[in-house]
Formats: sequence, structure tokens, C-alpha cells
Amino acid sequence: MEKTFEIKGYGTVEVKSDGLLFRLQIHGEYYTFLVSPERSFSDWLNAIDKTLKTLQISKYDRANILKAVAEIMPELSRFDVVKEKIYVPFWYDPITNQVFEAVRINEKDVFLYYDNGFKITEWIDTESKRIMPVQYMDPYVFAALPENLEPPKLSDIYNEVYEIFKDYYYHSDPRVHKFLSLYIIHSYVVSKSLGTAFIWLIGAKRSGKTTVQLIAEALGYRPIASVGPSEAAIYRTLGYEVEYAPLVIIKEFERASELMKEISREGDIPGTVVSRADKEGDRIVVRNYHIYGSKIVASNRLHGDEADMDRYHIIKTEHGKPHKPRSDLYRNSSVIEKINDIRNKLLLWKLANFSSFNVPPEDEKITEDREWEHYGGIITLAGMISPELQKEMYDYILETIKEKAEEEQNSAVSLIAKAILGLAELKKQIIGIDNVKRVRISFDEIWQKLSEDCTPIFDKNGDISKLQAPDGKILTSQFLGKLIREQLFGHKEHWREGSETYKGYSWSIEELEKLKTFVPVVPNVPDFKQIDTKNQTNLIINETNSAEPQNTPKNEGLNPQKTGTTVTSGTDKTNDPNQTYQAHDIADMYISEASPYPEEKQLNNFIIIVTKDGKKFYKCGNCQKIFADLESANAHSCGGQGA
Amino acid sequence: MIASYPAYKSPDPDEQKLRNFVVELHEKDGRAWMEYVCHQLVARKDETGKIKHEPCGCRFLSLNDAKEHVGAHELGWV
Repeated sequence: MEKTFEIKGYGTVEVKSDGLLFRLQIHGEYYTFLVSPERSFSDWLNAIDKTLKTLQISKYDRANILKAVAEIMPELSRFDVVKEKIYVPFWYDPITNQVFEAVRINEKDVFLYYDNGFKITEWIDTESKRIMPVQYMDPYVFAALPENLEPPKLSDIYNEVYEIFKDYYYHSDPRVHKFLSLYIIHSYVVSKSLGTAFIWLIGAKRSGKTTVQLIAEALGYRPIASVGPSEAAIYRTLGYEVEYAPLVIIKEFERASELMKEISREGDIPGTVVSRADKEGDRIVVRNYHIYGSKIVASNRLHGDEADMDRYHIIKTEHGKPHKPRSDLYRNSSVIEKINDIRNKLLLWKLANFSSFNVPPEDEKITEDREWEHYGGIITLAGMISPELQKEMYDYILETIKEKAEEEQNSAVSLIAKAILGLAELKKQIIGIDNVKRVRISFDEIWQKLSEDCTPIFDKNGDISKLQAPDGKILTSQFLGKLIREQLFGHKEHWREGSETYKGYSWSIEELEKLKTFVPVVPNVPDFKQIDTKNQTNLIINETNSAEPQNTPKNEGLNPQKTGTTVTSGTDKTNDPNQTYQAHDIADMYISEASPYPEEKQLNNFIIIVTKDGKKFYKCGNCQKIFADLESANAHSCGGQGA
Repeated sequence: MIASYPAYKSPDPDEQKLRNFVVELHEKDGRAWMEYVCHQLVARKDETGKIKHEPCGCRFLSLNDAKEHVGAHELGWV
């Protein structure tokens, strides 16, 4: 491979495995220097020119030398010295099963790897590429690496991460802290998992969304955190040569750019890429950027199509004061040092265990394949720490999946599908199943059936103009028709029954079968407990006069006299659509245990309602009695409950 | 009434079960109380005999009564 060429009148250039070694004599001075290979010949020539300039070689001599080098360049390719140089933060060699992570030691970017002890290399030479370390954002900085550094234990790192979450982030369910801690560790081995779930933090302002993201940013694997980064910045950070799976953190998800949303929606299974055409000189190069990796997004509410995706694991943040102030995370130097230490340990653990880490392809408890793909990595990690933790995580994850299925069941499309199926069933019973080829259902019937599950919105005349599904989607009659035709296989029809003309839709039996797939099955949902309310005096319904409250107050102390209040009929009220289904004059509501104020926290099982004019009300969750001031709420006791 | 919210948005799991209810917060002379208003659509005849769907409008001062009322709707009794 090594060969020497002559540069007439100046000296020689030798082809070495790591570049071109020049030995020149210019105007009596000797110069020896090495120029490393660049991606292209022109880049290489530029690099040589730059070196010559640094050596203060005259323009004339530089031109002569470069001309000579340019002539021998085509020869060089035959020796295969022009190796493509790529810069990556992470490299996995499947042949040797070796993992390399870019770290900074003594201000120098190097690769750290584990081979019976931690070792360092400045670059990796593979058959076709020269891999160089590169640092994005916050590099992993190590002091001079001690020779006998031991790989840290998973359970120790887990405990340290858990302590951070427990101290700085409030949540009434400790399993959330545990899940988040495992998720942070999972972000380091996500490339070896079958897939990953994305965390979606939902909650009001000051409920801790940012704190979780701050911790994730400090501890997660090479995090990219931003509200709305520029497109170029995103692509610069995502890997196109290798899938190194950084942890993507997005605050204010609803405001994120379309591209960022795209990245956060996709990439739950390995190998997901987005293509992008880059201009390189006079060529257009199409590159596939890897977007597989863990993601943590946050917003005030669920929105968009993402909400229905099973890859999102939703964590509802709560109001409450954590043990320690979150400003410690970025102000307190001892905490910052501690966090850096945990971070480095996480990387060291990854290096030592990446090759052996393995997620089983299926599971007995999380039986749905897709769910196992999303949660398998986390459950496996929990199992590596302790069987108790694994069991706890199973319970927590299964609970979350069930909750999500219930929410999906309420989504607009499934509600409509359920209504149609219910009505079709009735029709089939009336006509007799054997005689049915197509089932016709009038639009009014569907609308009426739906209004049982949705909140109606009234127009000025008191007619229902819209329906609001429990997931917040607004249904107008036009939109409902569109949904039925386009998504729910309905065929528009007009027909006559006696003297009446009907407008509606028809479905074949096969189409009705297909509709059933839109109605998710929720396991173990208890049936409504049937109570014989017929004989109860408090349920006497007076249809003609709904202006009076229909039940009798059972507790005089609890229920003030009705004469003192303005009680309007429900029907009148609902003429104002805002009043019927939107929270009205409410600024916030939370449970006492989640209160940021210690005096409120002391209240046991209270709901605190904050009105827009700043007033606070305290409602006992046990007896439902409500108090306008904290003292009375504190003094309240009912059957062992209350304060 | 000083404020109201749809029952399903309540942090109280018991209130969340009140399907199609609006919870109203009332206050007078330093005393406060809740009223639970049923907004479930029911078919009623107007003066001309035409069937109109309108919110039930039943009002309850106790959560348990409101819960039972939800049950009555489910069973088709009201």
C-alpha cells in the first residue's frame, strides 16, 4: 500500500495508511508533514494548501506543489488510501461485538470502549471507513481514566437515578419515579431493545413537566432538548451514518415544528429513518437520518393524532412540592457534580453491558406484541434489578395500558362505531338476522344515540347543534356524516317507510363486522351496578318544572336553603354552550395531597377548587361538604376522614 | 353560582363517574355548596306535541343522589 511519488523540484510525497507524508525542500528549507485523508480529493487538496499556507510557502510554490499532487491523486485511489472519514458519537461493531462511545478526556475527543477493562482509542479503522469521535451538545467528560476502573452495578445506578427523581419531582405514585428512572437507563440501551415507548407528560403549569425533562436532559443518553430547534440543528444531531439513538426531549409539544413532531411520532422501532436531500458541492446527496430512540414530550393537554398512539406512555403530572428545589439541578455545584457522576456511570455501565443486554422477543404478561415492543426494554431492566421491581412495573404498565384502552374507547370514532353497532343490533333483532343483507339506520337515530355518550352543545334556539365527544372532539352533523362515509363504511341513502322519508346510511353485514374493530375491548371493566332507584323519593322527576331542585337536602348543615340561591333550570343554562361543557370560572382544581402548600397538604382527602377570581374552596372527598376557608376545612372531621 | 365544571374533568374520582353532569359551585353568606346538574339528553314533547331532545336538568345537592340518577338514566327509567 505504501508508495512514494516525486514532486519535481520540491521533494517526495509518501502514501501512508493515515495520510500523505510530504518531505519537501523549498528554497533550502526542509519541511516534513502529514496530511490526513479527507472525504474527497478536493477537500484533501484544500487541506494540503492550508498546511502549506501555515508553513508560509509562497503562492507560486504552493501552486506548483498542488498541481503535482493533483496529478498523482487519481493514482492514489488505486491504493485505496482515501478512506471516507465519518464522525460519530457512538459506534457498534457487530463483528467484534464492541461498543465505542465518544467521550472527552483531557480536552480531547476520543472513543471509550470496554475490553476486559475500559480503554481509549482516538479513531476506529474499519474496512471502508475511518470512524472519528464527535461530541454534540453536552459531552461526557472524564478525568484521566483510571486503569482499574470497575463497571458500575445496575442496581446502584438505578438507586441513584431514582433518588434524583424522588427528591426533585413530586408525584403521588412512587411507581412513576421508578418508571422514569428505568426509562433513563433504557435510553442508554435503546439500540439493543425491540423498540421503545415515548413518554408524554401531561399536566397544568407548574406541575413538574419541566422538572422531569430537566432531569432527563441531565441524565439521559446524549439528549437533544429544545422547544423548537431549527431543522438544520435537528439533522446535525441525529445520526445518519449510525443509529446511535439519542434521547429526544421536546417541551411544549403543541408548539413544536412539524418536523420535530414527525420525529417524535416515529421511531418507536429500530431502523426508522427520515430521508433528506443535502447539497454537497455540486451534487445532491440523499441521506437517511435515523430517528429511532427514546423521546420525552410534554404539553398541557393531549392533542392531535398522537394521543391515540399506543407508543405514547402518558404520565399525568401533579401539583405538589418536591423534597428539594429543582434549581439545585442547575445551580448547586455539588448536585451538578453528583449528576455528572451518575451520567458517567450510566455510560460506563452501557459500555460494559451493551453487548450482553438482551430483551426477550415475547412476554407472558404483556401479551400484545406491540405493547411488548414498547415496554420490553424497561421490564427487562427492572427484572435485572430485582423481581419485586419487575412485578411493580408490570402492574404499573398494565394499568396504564388499560387506562389508555378505556380512553380510546371513548374517542369519537369508536363512540360512533359503538352507536352504529348498537342500533344495527336492534334492527337485526326486529327484522330477523336471516333476512338482513343491509342495515339502514337513519341519521337522526345515530345522532340521538351518540348524544347519550357525548355532551350536547346548543344553539340559540335550544336545539343541539353539536356534540362533544369525551375526548374533546366536536362533532357537527356534517362532520359526523363525513366520518360515517369516509371512515366507518356507511353508504348514504334516502328511503321511505310509509309516509315518512328518512335520510341515513346503510351497512352490509360484513361492513358491520369491520366496524367492530373500531371498538376496543377493555378487560375487567366492572358493569354498572344496578340500583333500584324507582322507589327512591329523591329521584322524583318533575319534567314540567325543572326550575326547582328535585332532591331533598339530606343534611341541613351541609345543604343551605335553596331560597337563598339563584337556581336556574338546567335547560335554560344549556343555552349557553360554554356553560354546558366547559369549566366555567375555574382556574384550577387539585387534590389536597398534590398541593404545593404544606397547610393544604395536611388536609386529608380534600379537593381544592380555585376560581378565576382567586377564591379557594375546599371540598371533603369523603362527605362532599365544601368550605370557603382553610380553617373550617381543617377543623372538619367526618367519620374518621377529613382533616 | 360562582363557578362550574363538567364532572368528568373533576380530580375527584367519584365525581368523574357522573356521566353528563355539570358540577356547580355556589356560595352565599360565607357558606358554599355544590350542585350537580344532569345534562343527559332526554326526549320531551313541547307544546305542539313535537318531540325535542333536551338536557334532563335534574339537580342534586348530594353526590350519591346524583350517582343514583346516572344509574336511573342507564336503566332507562328517566
